[in-house]
Amino acid sequence: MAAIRVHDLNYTYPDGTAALKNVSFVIEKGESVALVGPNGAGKSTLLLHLNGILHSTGSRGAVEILGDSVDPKKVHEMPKKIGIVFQNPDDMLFMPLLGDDVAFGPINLGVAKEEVKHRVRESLELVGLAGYEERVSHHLSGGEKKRAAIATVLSMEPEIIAMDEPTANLDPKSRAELIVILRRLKNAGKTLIIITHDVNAIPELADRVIVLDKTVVADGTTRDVFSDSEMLVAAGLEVPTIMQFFEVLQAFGYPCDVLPLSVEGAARNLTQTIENEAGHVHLHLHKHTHREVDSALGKYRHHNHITADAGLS
Amino acid sequence: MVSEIDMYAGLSSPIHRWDPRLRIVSILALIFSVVLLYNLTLVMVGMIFAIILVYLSKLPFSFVLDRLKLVFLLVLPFFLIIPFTTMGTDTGVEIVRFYGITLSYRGIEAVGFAAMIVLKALTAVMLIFPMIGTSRMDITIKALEGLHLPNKLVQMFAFTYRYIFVISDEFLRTERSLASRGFKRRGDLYTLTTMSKSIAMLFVKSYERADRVFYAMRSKGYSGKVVTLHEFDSERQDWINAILVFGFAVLLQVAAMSGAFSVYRGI
Amino acid sequence: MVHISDGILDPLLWEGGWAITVIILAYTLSKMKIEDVPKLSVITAAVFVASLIQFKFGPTSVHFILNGFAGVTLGLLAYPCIFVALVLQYFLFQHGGVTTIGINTVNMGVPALLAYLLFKYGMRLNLGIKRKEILFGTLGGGIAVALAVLFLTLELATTGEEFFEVAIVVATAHLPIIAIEAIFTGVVAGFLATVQPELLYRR
Repeated sequence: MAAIRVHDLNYTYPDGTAALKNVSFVIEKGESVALVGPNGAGKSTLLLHLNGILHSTGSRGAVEILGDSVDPKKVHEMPKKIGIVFQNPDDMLFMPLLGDDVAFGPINLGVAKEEVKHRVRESLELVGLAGYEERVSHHLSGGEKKRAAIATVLSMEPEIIAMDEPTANLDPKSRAELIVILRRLKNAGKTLIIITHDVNAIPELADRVIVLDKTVVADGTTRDVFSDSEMLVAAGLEVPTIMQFFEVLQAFGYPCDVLPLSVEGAARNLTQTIENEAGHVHLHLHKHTHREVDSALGKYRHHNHITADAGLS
Repeated sequence: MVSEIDMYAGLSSPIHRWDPRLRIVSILALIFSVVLLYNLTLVMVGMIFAIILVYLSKLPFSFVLDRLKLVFLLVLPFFLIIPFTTMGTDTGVEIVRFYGITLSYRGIEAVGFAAMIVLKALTAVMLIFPMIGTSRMDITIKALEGLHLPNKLVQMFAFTYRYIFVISDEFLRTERSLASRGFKRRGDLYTLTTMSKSIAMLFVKSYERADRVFYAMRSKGYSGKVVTLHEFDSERQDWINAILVFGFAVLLQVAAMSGAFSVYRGI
Repeated sequence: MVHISDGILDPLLWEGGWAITVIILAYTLSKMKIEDVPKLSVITAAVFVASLIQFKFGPTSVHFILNGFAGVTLGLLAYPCIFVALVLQYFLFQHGGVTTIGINTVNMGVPALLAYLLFKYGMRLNLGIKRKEILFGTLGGGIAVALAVLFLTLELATTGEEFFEVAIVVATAHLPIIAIEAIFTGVVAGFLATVQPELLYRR
């Protein structure tokens, strides 16, 4: 039984613009998938289909969660299986106290009061907000709010968790903390689907990447997807900075085939490569280097409508 | 923008410890009772009782007085106008007459009536503090639910209260961006139309936020009812307090109806 | 300020105010669907915040009353919205009174409902002018405030002769507000018609 099965999903906004066209993919239990795409690609809209808040136009298209077809009339039962963490935590924290917000989900699912209290405590601990039950959401920092929003979903103990831009607008420390939490969830066996523009975080969070631009443009392992530069540029996307950097290094003669996707991966890559080369690696400049470097830099340059040297005078 | 009525909810006092549901109902009854009084002496008695309640609640008097100042200013016009204008029978000493309005001193009775109005208003506001200032706002709202107010209304109180802060932050941001573009508030038509548009924008953003909040709620299983974990239970002391306060409220009315106290009725 | 504090009006008036408000509330709440509760709450919060904004006018500053706006954008649900806003204003700022919540809601809410009807049926008329919303918004906003002031003035006057002069003072003090809110509601209605029409045509 797959965790999420989407087949031929189509959706048009009330004003007529197409949002999703023939979207199909399967996500197995325990997988961690990054959903990327340009702005307006329909990613957030797709998420709302996963728990039935929005449903497919006409009778075409189907969404199955954990083997069951999603029934728009039973949205209130979906949180048992799939929880969605929306982009703006202020939209997720609507109760007077944080404890109320975290308790909201399980209470609606009919969980007994003692068990709810237990889950509230656990969920807050999991996101590093132990003891925050009586805090007022309004007084929390941006990072705390993002984590609180996740706690409100964790307390429902769904198998699948979908998140919309979890690392957006966070300072570096909060972002790092959040990534730790997401990895914890991944290691606990949850199925994750994460919408993100944070390309550098993807290698740490996801094994698989789906590129969405109203329809599924690419679907493969993180490495496979990041290797298709043409497709990425066409979709307005990029690869992790480290990967780009190592492509530039290759133009200087760095001898590796498998590019690292993260800084940790780069450390491993350097160690391995230098070992393979008997302790030394040579970088050199020759007459073609400049052109090759340019080519590596230009690989992900997007077609801009803004001329770089327009001049401000 | 919104300064907190419940900032002293964390103190400990007999009023703080009183079950919020019984507390609210009892003090509310007292407010209604005082408002129904039309005798200066009885109103003063009610006021003294209110002051005692405020004292028992250990809320700082400066905090209470600060808020009373505003109310006093609002009621002051009544106090100034009434003793110098008509009051039932024409028994006043004329002071001045201009443009058809007669200002005359209508006697001590009129002053007494005006004083009664002012004291009543002040007492009613003073009682808000032991009533609501002794619990966190969210608990007060949950108490309303415990008092069996319609669920939809209680939900509205809770969510509206929560989002007042979010939206006033948003509005502050709008104000700042207007100011950073040189906009200054004057009393002219341009200011009015600009402010109208920025307030309209506030509503548009709030409406969109409302949609998103609703999606978030539904994604967490919301199907119309909101239940919270908070449990109220009442002990004997709570009921004793209730009987004392509620009883006093009734006593005031009994005294008023006994005929021993004269009643101001202008009509 | 169009809402009156405790202890001034004749008890018959504020008791009657409660009776009317309970009835209208019961009716409008029954028309409220589950989806409406969070939406209405957020918008009520916006109304609340907006009503705290001061508009400097000559030597004084006035607050927007917004009952006309509430009527035009919320329709029937303007009534519970105004009720909740008044209760919260009382809880948080001690504005108005608690015995008078009923009558204050009547004074502000009934004109709001009338503004809604005026706007709704006015928009159906074929007048051949562009942006009818601005016209009916202005009318709705102005009439809503004017009626609220009128109701309050009548209530003060009937409470007793001692309040007659005060009633006149209150009425005249509010005349400029009628004009200000009329313009405000008109501008807002016009703005919403272009930017987010669904806020005007909900039901």
